[in-house]
Amino acid sequence: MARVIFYGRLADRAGRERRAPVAGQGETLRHFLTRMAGDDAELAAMLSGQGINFAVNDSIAPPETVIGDADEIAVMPPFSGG
Amino acid sequence: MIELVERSIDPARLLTAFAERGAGAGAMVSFTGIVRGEGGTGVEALFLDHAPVLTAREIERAAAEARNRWRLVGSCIVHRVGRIAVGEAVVFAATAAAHRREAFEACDFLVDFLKTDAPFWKKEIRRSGEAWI
Repeated sequence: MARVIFYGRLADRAGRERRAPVAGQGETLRHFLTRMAGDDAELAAMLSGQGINFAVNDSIAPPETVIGDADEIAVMPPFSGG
Repeated sequence: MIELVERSIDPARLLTAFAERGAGAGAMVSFTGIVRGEGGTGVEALFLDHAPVLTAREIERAAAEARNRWRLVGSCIVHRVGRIAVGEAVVFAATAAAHRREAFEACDFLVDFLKTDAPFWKKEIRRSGEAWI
């Protein structure tokens, strides 16, 4: 099961953390998140929205990154600065 | 030195500690950012969300860039996370260098990064409710 952590306004909408299985070899981050959002079209739209950043195991990664079951994925709204 | 902390910070004490570490520098510049209470908006506090490892890593990347661009004797960034009340310090940044221009420019660069590009997510807490900004 990959661990997905949501930040900022996404955490309010999706919860801080979810776990979901990665679908076999070669699943991309984008595909995984679309599948995880399932029927929740509003969440799916938020996850693919403008300026959303992703990280895999604490390193920023593009949505085309292939992920595995042991990965920790961060889904982050645009950075606001401090 | 980079720290992300939930407790309140004391800029004067941080500056004193930084000055002790930066002995030999010809110039030190520090910046303290404070949560603004804008008249009539009803803002009581900010809440700063962060990704512990990634946020620290991105700040370290900016600090490394500053060290490459300016000849620094040292730098220090202490940033609050979590709930920060109006009037409290939210960030302390300091740089030390042989000459003032380098210290000023490097501190300005670090603060610009922290205020605009750093991986934080900011929520205003008002009497009337909360809103991500």
